[in-house]
Amino acid sequence: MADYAPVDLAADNLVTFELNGRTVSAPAGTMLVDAAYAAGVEIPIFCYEPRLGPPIGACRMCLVEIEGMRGLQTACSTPVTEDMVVRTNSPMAKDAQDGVLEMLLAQHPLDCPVCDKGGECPLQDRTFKFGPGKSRFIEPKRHFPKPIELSSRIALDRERCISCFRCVRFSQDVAQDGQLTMQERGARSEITTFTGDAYEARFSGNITDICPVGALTSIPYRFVARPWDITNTPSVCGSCPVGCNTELTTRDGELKRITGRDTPNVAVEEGWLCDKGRWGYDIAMSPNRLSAPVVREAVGDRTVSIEDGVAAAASLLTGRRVGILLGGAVTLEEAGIALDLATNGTLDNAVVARLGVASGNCAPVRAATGAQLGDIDAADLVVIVGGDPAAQQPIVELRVRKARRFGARVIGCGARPHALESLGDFTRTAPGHLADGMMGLADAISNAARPVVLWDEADLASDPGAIAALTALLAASPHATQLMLGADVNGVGLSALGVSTTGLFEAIAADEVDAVICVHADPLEAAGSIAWQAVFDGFRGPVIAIATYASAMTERADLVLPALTMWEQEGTLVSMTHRAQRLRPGAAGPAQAAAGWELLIAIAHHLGHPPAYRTAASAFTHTVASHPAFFGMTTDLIGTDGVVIGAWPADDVSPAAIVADPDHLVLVATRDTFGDDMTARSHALRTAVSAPVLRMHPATAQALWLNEHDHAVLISDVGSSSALPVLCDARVAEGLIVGPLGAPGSPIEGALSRNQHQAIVRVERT
Amino acid sequence: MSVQDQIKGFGITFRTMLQKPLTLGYPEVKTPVFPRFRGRHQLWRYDNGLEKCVGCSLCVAACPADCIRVVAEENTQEHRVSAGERYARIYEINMSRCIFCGYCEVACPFDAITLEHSYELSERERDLMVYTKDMLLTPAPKQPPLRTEGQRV
Amino acid sequence: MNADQVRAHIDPIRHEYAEARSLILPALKFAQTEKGHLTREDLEAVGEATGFSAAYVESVASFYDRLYLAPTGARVVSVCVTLSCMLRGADEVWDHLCEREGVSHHGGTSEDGRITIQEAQCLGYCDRAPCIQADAEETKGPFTPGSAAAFVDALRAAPDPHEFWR
Repeated sequence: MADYAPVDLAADNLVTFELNGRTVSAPAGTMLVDAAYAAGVEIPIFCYEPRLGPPIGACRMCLVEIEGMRGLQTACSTPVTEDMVVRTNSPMAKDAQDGVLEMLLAQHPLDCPVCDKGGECPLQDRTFKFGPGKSRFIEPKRHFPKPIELSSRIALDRERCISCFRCVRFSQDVAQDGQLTMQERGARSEITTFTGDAYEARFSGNITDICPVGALTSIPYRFVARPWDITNTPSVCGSCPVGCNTELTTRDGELKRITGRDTPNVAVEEGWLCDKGRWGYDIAMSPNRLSAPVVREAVGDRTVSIEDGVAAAASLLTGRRVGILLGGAVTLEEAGIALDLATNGTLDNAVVARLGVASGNCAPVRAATGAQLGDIDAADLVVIVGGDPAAQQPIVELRVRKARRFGARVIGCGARPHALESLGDFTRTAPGHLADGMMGLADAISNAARPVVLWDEADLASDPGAIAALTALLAASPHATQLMLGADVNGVGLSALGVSTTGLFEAIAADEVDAVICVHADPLEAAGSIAWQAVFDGFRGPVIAIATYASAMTERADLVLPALTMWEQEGTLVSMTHRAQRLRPGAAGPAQAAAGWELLIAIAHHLGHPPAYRTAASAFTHTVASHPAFFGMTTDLIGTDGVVIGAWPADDVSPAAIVADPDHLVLVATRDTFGDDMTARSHALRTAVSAPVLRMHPATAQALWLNEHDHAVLISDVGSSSALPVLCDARVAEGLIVGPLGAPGSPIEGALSRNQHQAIVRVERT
Repeated sequence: MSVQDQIKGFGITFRTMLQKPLTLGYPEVKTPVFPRFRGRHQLWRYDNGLEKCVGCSLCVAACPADCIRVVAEENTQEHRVSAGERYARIYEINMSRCIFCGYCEVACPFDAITLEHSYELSERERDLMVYTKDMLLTPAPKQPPLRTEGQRV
Repeated sequence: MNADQVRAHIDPIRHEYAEARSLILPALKFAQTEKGHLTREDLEAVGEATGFSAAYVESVASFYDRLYLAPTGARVVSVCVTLSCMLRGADEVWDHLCEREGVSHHGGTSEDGRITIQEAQCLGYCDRAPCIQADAEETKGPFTPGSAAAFVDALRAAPDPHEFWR
């Protein structure tokens, strides 16, 4: 990982000091290790990690000689000052490095050939580079029973721990879950949780990335590969709209591991990943992965080759009026090709629509100055309007906690309780009355120097009053920036391409479409599933499902074409902060499956209209050329770090306003990080799964004659949910029911309307 | 060509006829190799039957011909294969790519692999040139029979 | 012990401590007076009262020799094993006592529940090394394995201390 913090050598507060006889400069206050690294001198470190907060000088590896100071100083916790004279290679400093390494290795087992960290281990590298080469210790080393499971995903090998406190600082300061601590003292020190409980936290996997030795390793990756067996591909996570930058580790064409990047993208995730993004990839190998095309005929299902599948798709589409439905995580390339086929005469005037939240009415808020996630760090005021960022956009939580650590104030309002509320003052508002809560925020925002407003796309889209209030707030404080907490993985990208959430449903209902292609989309499991089910029940034409996993739609479809997952295909996703980033394949995928864009191009060839592009890259170039938000964008420009897209004309589709009143209950759907279908199917995450429940205020439950753990059904105008257990939570606003979005079996989707995550419901006990 | 030249030529012929032939009757008789000759690889076991190889893949890293493939797995209490925590579930050497440089032997931290004196490495198909762990591993030693109660030494 | 009891104890002394985390130690000392050791509930109560996570409180408790995370015997015998004592034969005393009380080499409580043996770092009795401390009160030395055993026997026979000094 990135061990040294980047140094801004163009800053205006540079100080000049002497380093190993050279004169170098760095901004005042920069830690000596970082300043030296920027000047090309590596001072070895183990415990120093700039992302974990202030240095603690625990490992003593960075001892250097500074003239005028008695003894040796830890370079990681010494800021540079004017005219400082530093020697990192003097006999005294070298002696200290030798000594510290010799002492660290006095208890560290030399089982590098067996250790998973071997080959990518900072201790190994720095012993090789800075170590004495020989140890004088002949005494036996300490021994513990070999690895214990810190959780079902992390193995702890206590012998290898060098007590650098990195993992403890991550748990205590960065994630603030307060679980990991160092117990005992001296040679008996060990990392552990409270009374040895499993370390179950949302970001627990990051400690395997930051461990400078092989003490904390990932169990799914245990003994799977060595660093020279693998290839690492920089990619992006497509599990939520945050778009964390990841690195995919591949061996023999299979995805073996996902880690943060060596050089973290400071503007997005800063190298931290949530456990779902890190370990959820094993669903690509799960039993309900589609691996070969299936043609559904009167006589039964028939598995065919991918070539025959594409030919069958083309023959199903020939001469028909086609509708294309795109899922929320469809890449720009796939959407661009779908739009191209609809307009260039291949599929005559096809209707293209997407699943997801309509938020065209949020355009005035979006028009205010946008922030990247990295900008939250420097904010002095973080305002959270609606939503549940800790559950729905997990990495945002770490950013807000970091800002809080740096002294920022955190305030906000919303109907749902969430993990970040403990950081500051939050007002509980009734659903549909977010604007009331925002009145109290105006003063704080105008008084702050660098306020950042995080607002929830789905919550605001259903609350026109809140949009108006937030627009006014942002207009009154031009120094404030806003950051949308998005609802759909590529929702921004698809709406920037002009793909609407409406059109197709109406067209199918009005019998204006004879064939439907669902691209990574399952309307029967998405919001409004009951309404979709009704139109599909009356639909007689063929349905082609381009999908990765078996679902209700792939069961109903007449032709299923297996597609590749986000870890196996190329593509571009636009994150909720309008950042276009590229997916790069890190695994091969099943032989009889192909990427969505590839399938669409192949179908166009079979229909006799070969498009002008053949690859994902050329499809991207073709797509960006015709959409103003992407003008001038190239794959080179996006590179590995991504680039922010431009503005686009607002979509005029707005969902209905949902306002709670004493007679009506409001269902607000929340996609919990570990409550969704993906987590439920992942073997690695089996112990992290949170069960689907309906959360409501005890008073609400009482008024409905419901006890905790009773099962209840929600009924709205458009449909009803499945029965789910009730959980009373006094922090939820009265009149509100928080339901699990995307949970296995999509229990609450039926009660929602198609492009909205809120609904007015009544509750029935079952 | 003079008579003298013919005598000279036949002289060599007759002299050679009387010498011992250098040719060996190969399959039956084999040329002895030097002690440090590098031939077919062998994977070794400890005396107790556990494999020396822990599947660390250092031989893979050292191999200039990229002909070794190791897939490791964890030893369990019930299924203990090697002395360490891990063992090589798959150990393959593609003999048609191997250049017999011996770097794998040098890289091995457990002296688990050595290059031995066998050099007859031909197969009828390319695929068969990939030698698996079963082929490379020394056979497990026979367990000495345990002395039973009352048995005289 | 519950959080309210701990809070009642530490609230009057809160102003004496510059940092909130410094309160953990008096809170733990107080919590231990109830049972003589700290249970999971005690640690959680201290955590709640001081505003730190239970895990952090446990890490503090595990650092100190006089805070017990498991039940101890009626008398606690601390054998100094630091340099001066070690050079004067503390290891033999330690090994002898462990063997005699039937506890592991890392110390522990004897089967009859009367005596707990633990290692101690320097007790400041280097001039009379090797030394042994009983119940954190009286320190004696020098000992041989034999005299140490006699000392422990005397402790075993003596009546229990009335209050939990720990």
